[in-house]
Amino acid sequence: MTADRRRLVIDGAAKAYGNTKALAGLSLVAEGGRITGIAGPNGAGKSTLVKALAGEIGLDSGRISLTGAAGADADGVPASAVVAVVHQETSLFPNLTVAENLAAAHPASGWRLPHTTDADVRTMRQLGILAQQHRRVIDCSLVVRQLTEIARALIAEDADVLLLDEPNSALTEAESAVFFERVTALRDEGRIVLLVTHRLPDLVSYCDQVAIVRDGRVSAELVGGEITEKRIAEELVVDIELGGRAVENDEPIVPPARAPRALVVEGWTHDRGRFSGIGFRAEPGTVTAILGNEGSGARDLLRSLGGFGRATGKCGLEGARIAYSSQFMPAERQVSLFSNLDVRENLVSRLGSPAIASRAGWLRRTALAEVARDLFRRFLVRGATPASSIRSLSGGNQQKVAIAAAAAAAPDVLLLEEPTRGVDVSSKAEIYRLLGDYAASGRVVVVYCSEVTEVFELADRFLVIEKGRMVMEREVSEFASVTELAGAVADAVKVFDEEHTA
Amino acid sequence: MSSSTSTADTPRRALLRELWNPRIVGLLLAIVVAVVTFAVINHNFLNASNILTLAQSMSSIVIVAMGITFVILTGEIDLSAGSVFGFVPMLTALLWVGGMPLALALPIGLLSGVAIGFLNGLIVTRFDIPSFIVTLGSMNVVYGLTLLISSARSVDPKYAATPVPMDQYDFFRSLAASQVLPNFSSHIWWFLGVTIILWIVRHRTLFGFRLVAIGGSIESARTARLKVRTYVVIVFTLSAGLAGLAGMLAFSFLGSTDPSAGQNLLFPAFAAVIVGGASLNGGVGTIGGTFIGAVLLSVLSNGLSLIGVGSFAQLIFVGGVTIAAVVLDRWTTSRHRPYRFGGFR
Repeated sequence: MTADRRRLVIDGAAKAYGNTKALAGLSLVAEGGRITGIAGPNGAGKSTLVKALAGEIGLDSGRISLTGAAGADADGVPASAVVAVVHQETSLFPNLTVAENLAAAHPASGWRLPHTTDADVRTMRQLGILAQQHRRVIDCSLVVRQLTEIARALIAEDADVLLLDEPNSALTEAESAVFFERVTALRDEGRIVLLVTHRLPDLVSYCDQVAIVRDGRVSAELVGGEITEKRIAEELVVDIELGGRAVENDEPIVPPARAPRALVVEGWTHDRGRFSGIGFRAEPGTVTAILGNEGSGARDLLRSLGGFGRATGKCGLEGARIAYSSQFMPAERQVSLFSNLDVRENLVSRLGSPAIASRAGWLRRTALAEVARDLFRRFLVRGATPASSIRSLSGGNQQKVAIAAAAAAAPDVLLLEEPTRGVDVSSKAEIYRLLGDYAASGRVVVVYCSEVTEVFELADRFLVIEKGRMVMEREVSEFASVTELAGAVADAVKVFDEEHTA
Repeated sequence: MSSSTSTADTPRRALLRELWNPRIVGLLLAIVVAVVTFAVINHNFLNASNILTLAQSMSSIVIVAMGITFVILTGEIDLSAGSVFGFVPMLTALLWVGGMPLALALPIGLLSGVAIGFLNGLIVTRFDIPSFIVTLGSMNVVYGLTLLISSARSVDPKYAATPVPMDQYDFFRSLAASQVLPNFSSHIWWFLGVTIILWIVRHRTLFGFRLVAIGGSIESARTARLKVRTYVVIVFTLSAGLAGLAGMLAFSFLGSTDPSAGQNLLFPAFAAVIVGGASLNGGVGTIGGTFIGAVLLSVLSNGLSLIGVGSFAQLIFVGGVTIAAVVLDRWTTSRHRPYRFGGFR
């Protein structure tokens, strides 16, 4: 068994986008019969690695090969042909049944209608979805959809390598357990299984080997007993060196019209159950972070504070529960920026009368240009002029424009989702600084983070949301290092999870 | 940092920037080529009287296309404009001939157009139905209404069973048919005026600015708390209102109105918008582009008529030109723009 065990070998994979090195010589060996977990902070190169493995992008240098595969020469075959990728969003035909989806995956058979073969039935039985074979995918539960996705991938290419990319982030706890039970069965057949996930408990429970990816490389590999939530959390947050670029920024921010007040939230409950009974204070002059994984409800909590998504309970500025002005910046730039507008127009896109228009609605073009120029300078947008196309900017600078646009209206409460997602390190430092400055003008800044490092670098106070509940609320200054903070969060989440599964 | 570098590109140059883009320059070149070709084949093409005829014939297309441009800027579509063009004057004509004074019949007609547009916008936004479906439906509803109320007969108020008062008739005809100079009818002033006003709305008001933003990304617009629904209702109202106005002016110019008026207008109006560079995805499109697109199409149809190409063959030609313009645009811009519209890195 050991001699002809299949191995997926990634050797010195490198891929750059402009000046950003997404993969910087990443090497990893994944063996058949094992589940190899891949974890890493956002922007570490995970998604580029997934794309390279799936054959969606080519590498600048390095190679990916598969050895020991039945029928393949020992030297290896291009891996993209045999890697089956299962993403979070399924790419099934929702209007067809499970069996029809599998039949549609068969290689083209000329004029004959695709039909369910014995092999299809075997695969469905193996994955435990045979009973659902005649149901339309749209009527199936998420776990059945994910398993159908796997089945289709196996059938289409008889894949040796199964790459699961955040497969269960939308699944419930019980569904995840079923899902992994089936995946484990596939592993035991000798297939190579790669699991990319943010969920530390899954890495601990199901993986035989965990690779931590940072800055486009594997920074650590954990095997067997080394795989604990605390250890992974620590490896994920080894301090990053923030860019030492001099930041010249003396532009004062307009002080608030009234005395600074804290944002007070009590018994705050989502109408569709994403979170419940949340209570916290976000002090003016500080940055408050809401930390939580995808699906924990943390993201929905932040959005609800801005009025996006309904929730009930108390939420308002301290005192007479004054209604507050807020601006919300979502994580995806497709929904925070306007690709058809130039940089200047994007900067002022949330402003109206009197900043850029008269009360009657006439544009004040000189004022508009001045406001935009001021924001452009104050938010350190680089690599363009205000008249450039927004698409010509780098990710980091686009993000600064999005933040500037949200902050331009000087809201009492500024809400941001993952403010540095897909942003290079030096822009990251500047964005942290800009948000700190904004808070320092006497306003409330609340951010949703999925990374502990970001909490440590950016926030003054943080709360942790797990399964819709607040499990922890602390000052960042209580922790000496990000590692310590990460450990404390992992412990709190673990304790909470154990209480709630018991 | 010196501020003069950024001052150099204030929005003051919006008009210049709007005109100085490959699309517009290409269109202007195409117009020049067409004009020269037609003039060589038929010397009457450049007669003052033919040029004024050409300008007058553009009027309906331009006014309808301007309204459609605003709808398309938000990423929606309005197929009902042609039917509204026929309905509004017919309603006015029937009320007027039926004994209602013009001072009442005229505004009622125009308001009916506005109401149809408002309803279109309301259905699209409240029930979240694609505007293609809503306006495809209202296109037929409104045309059916026109046929029903008119019994499918055209109306000439001067020769009706009970003719309308002459003073009212003369006033109504003077709206679009009065001659400023020989052959220079006031119909021309109307579309020039509408174009200028809408250019101002598009480039000089907060409304125009936000409209373009909404068309660029409706999601971003919602995040920015722009009143997306209100804006969409307004553009549908504007589009139908303008289509009604255009129909009314055509009625005034011709002296009679036909129930099928406007039925052949939808395609040329859309063609002008598309040839003028607007994107059906929304967020891209200019008033100047639409105007120049309308000029090109009018030059083509006028010139083709003059050199003896029949109206059936013209349909083929205008349809072909529209497709060619879009293909050419895709082909040239895709080389310079590595990212598709709406794509972020």
